[in-house]
Amino acid sequence: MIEVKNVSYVYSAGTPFEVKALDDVSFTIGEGEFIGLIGHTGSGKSTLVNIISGIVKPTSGQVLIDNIDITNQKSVTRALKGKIGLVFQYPEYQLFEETVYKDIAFGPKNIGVPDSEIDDRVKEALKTVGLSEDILNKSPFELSGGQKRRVAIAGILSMKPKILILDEPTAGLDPGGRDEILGRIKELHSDYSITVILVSHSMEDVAKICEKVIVMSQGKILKYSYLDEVFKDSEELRENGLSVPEITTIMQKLKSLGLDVRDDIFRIEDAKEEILKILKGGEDQ
Amino acid sequence: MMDITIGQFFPGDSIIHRMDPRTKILFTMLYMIVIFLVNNFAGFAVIFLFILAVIVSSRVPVKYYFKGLKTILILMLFTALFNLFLTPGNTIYTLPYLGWTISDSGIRFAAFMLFRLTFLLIGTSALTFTTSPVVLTDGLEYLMRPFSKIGVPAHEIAMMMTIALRFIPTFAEETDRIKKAQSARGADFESGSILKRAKAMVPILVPLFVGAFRRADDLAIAMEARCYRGGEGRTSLKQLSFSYADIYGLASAAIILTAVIICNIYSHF
Repeated sequence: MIEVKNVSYVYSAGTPFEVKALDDVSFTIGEGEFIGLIGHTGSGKSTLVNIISGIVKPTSGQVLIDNIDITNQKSVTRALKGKIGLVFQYPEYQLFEETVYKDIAFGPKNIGVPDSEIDDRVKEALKTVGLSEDILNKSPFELSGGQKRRVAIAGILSMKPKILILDEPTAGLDPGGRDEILGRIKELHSDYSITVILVSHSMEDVAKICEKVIVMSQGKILKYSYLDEVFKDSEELRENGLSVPEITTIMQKLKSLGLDVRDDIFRIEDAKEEILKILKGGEDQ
Repeated sequence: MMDITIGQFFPGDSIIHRMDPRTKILFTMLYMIVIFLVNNFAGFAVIFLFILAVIVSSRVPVKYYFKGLKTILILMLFTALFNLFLTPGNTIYTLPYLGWTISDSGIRFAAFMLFRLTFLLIGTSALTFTTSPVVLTDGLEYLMRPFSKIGVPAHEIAMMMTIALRFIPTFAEETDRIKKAQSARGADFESGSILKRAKAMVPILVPLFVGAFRRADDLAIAMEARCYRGGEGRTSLKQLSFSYADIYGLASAAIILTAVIICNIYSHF
């Protein structure tokens, strides 16, 4: 369980360039939840996930992971490493080893996993991201962009984190690569029942796989609720520089044109059923 | 993360900001020569008053000048200590046990060295604080132009400097990002022996270099795409021009030079 209590963060405190990135943020994420974290650029998403994973210390406030305060001692944060996996934006830029194998093994080695277990972990992580074992002995720099991204994610998964945080994992990928990555994350969540936080500014991505959404704006939490609840108020989201998924917009337009459809739909399959229902209903009359 | 005060530019509209970069560069060079010509305390007093006037009129907070000084503090201390102990002269104190001697001229030279380094750094900081890197290299390019006759690639040197300066903050940011990403994978940069810590830098340096080459490639293509082909026949968007601020600058340069020469001749302190 992740508890964030009154967390604030100020960049360049005491200089003319002072910026308040997080302003008294509090929320709780339960075990095994799948959360989408959305907000426009500069809303404080990345700062928040850096703090949750213990890499950045908040200016004030507390973060408890399974009742351990990670904002306090250094030793505690080190023990937590591996428990929280953070996949940064463009994670392929952190690859550095001679071979893919060594790169994926870097994390587990650092957190003290015995050598005998590392081999299994590397192979399992590689399988999870959908790559074949042929590439294990290649240099990570000769892979394609999408493959590099997946190797980098495998480098985090090999630490077997209980909480997985992904910062814009689909940025810069083509639609095929995007669906592939999102699908793998969804599988991972249901197979291992880990907690997942997906940072994104794409409503489409979030609507596709998340259960609940945290909407951030100017360093504050604007909304934290289930998907349908959040997308219902599309006006407020638009005012904060965000949009609802296209399909939700379509349903809302249909309703305003007088069709008797639900307007809290955010998945294409649900929309299809709803529209078919109306069409069939029309035939019956 | 990184505190790069030397070479940082503070935008502003003071009389020093408005001066032509060529005036400022020539002035700084003259200033450096003068600092090493001074051989008495009266001369340093003149320079002190002058640099104080520059700091005040630049309207850059004084604390930034001192921040720059902090970075060369160790160098200053070493230089002062060496001068203090190694200058021959009339011995006025001998360290017990070690037998090192301090002479009257040792004290004098140590103080001179401290003053020189301090004034040197403050003076050059005043230049970079008030001149944006682009304007600065424009000025340098102009001043180097006569040397292109003897094969000095003035434009290319200036362009390389502009690019290098432009990428300092980018790489500082990138280093920070990579460091965070690797520490999220359990990398430890703070504990262990020097050798272990040096090895721990590999996961930061490799991605940083790969990124640098990628950026260099991208930049080269972007420049080619906009038909960049070196300095030949190239004109500037912003033409450099002298203004009344430069006349003040030149006048004060003449005054300070005269004052220092007078001090050197007449002052025996």
